[in-house]
Amino acid sequence: MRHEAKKISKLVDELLTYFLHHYNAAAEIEVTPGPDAYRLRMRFSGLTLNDDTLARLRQRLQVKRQPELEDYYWQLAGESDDSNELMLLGMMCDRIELRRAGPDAITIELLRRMR
Amino acid sequence: MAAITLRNGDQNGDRTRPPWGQPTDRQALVFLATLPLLLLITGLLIEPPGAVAAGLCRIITARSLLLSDYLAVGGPGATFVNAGLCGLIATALLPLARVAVNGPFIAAVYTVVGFAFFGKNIYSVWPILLGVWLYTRVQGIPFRNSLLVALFGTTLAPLVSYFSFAAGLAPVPGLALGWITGAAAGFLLPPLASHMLRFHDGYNIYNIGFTGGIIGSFFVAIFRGFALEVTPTTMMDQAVSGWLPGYFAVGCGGLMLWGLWLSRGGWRELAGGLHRIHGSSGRLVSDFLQIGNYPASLVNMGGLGLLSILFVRAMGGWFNGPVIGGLMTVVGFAAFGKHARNCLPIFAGVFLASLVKVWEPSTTAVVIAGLFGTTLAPIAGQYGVPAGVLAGFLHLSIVMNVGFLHGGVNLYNNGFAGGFVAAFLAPLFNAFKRREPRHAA
Repeated sequence: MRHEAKKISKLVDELLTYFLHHYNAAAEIEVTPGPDAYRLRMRFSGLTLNDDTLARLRQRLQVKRQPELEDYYWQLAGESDDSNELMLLGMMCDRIELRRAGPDAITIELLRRMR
Repeated sequence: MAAITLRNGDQNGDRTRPPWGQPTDRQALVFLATLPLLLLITGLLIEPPGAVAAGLCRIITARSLLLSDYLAVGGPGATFVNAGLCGLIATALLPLARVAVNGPFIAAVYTVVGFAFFGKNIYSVWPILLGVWLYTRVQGIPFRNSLLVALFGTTLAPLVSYFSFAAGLAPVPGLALGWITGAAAGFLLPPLASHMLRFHDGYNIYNIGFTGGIIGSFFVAIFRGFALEVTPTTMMDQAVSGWLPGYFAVGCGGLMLWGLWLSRGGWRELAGGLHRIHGSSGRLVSDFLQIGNYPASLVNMGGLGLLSILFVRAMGGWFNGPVIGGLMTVVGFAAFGKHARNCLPIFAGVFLASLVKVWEPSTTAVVIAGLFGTTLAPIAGQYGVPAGVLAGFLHLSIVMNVGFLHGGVNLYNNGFAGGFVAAFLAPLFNAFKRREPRHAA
């Protein structure tokens, strides 16, 4: 896969920028490379997300993986100060799982298969 | 704790039902093919087949450098047929490459159709497509991954036309040089296009226009070193407005009605989709089919098209090939980043600039600078109305000065200029913007 490591770091950059900029959230990041996929697990704490906000976040991420757009636009991920590219992040992932991890924390797990 | 899982990879995703208003893939393709089909039928109806065939020959063998109005070169019948056929070629590539219709591809097909009124034709697009295809073969990636770049990449089609027919070369070397330069340009496009996004951070929607300008400038500079002069040309029809504004206004109205029909009375969802679309900055990548919904995107396309027609009228412009091309492109990109809120400031900026600068507001170059200047719509969407007006104001000057670099071989000259304007303004606005409120999903 071309630029795979850089694409993974862009995914991390995008989410980290988003939660730092909007929530000043503390972050724990775990990246697990596998033989055929990368798994990313990010835990953000010190933030309060109500159900509506979580639903809006979910809507922005609920995009089918689109290699026809990813190969062209992936370099934009994480490039903005306020991180507007959550949709692009969705286009680059096969599975995204959002989970509340306590009253003031969430975890986001991403799966990106190599094709 | 409950988890929300989004399985994005499978072709059918995890959606137990399609999003509201979403047509099937086949219906979406029918929608995409409708515009080129209508243009094709119109072309065949307004002139006899013999005149259309002769006009098509003239179009294919024309210089096609900016600004070559095919309505003047080949007549309206042949031009409409050329636009229809180019659009059908572009549409057919989607299922062939197994790509679903989405906002970016709607924009791409409408852009191909629009520029088939002044620079792209059924001969000159193929070498570019071939070059991108060769790139995907060499890289070992599916063609679908670069199809979007291939479609937009036909901005460099005049390279093919010029060297094939207008550079004064003998037929065989001319055709060979046309195909080789076209394929070489297409081959270079995908990696450069992706990289160039970072130059303007996605604030110039016509990124391939910027990339094409860079590639075209390199090519033309090299050619000039070998005494092969490439200079922009101007051949425009100044007397064809007649029925064209009404024709395209009806088309835009039809798009809005199509969107309303798809909504099937779901006014709340339609209004919500339009609200989300107009709340988007439009910065790349803003697929309005995802951000809003399908019906709202169609309403936005038709509405912005009507607004653009009013803009052309207000400027006193003619409806010739380049202006129709601008209109089609704006309509297409109303599914991929443009809406009234982020386009009107650009229109205003170009208009104000034309009042105080040396260019007449009604000239085609100024009118299309307004239409295509909406490549900078994300500046207005992100930084506000005054920033958008300033972007439009600056854009007119820049676009009038960069064409010489690529000699007119890059049809998206406004995208080329827009890249410079966005790269100039966005960092400045970022440096001086106020701190935003937190807690925004």
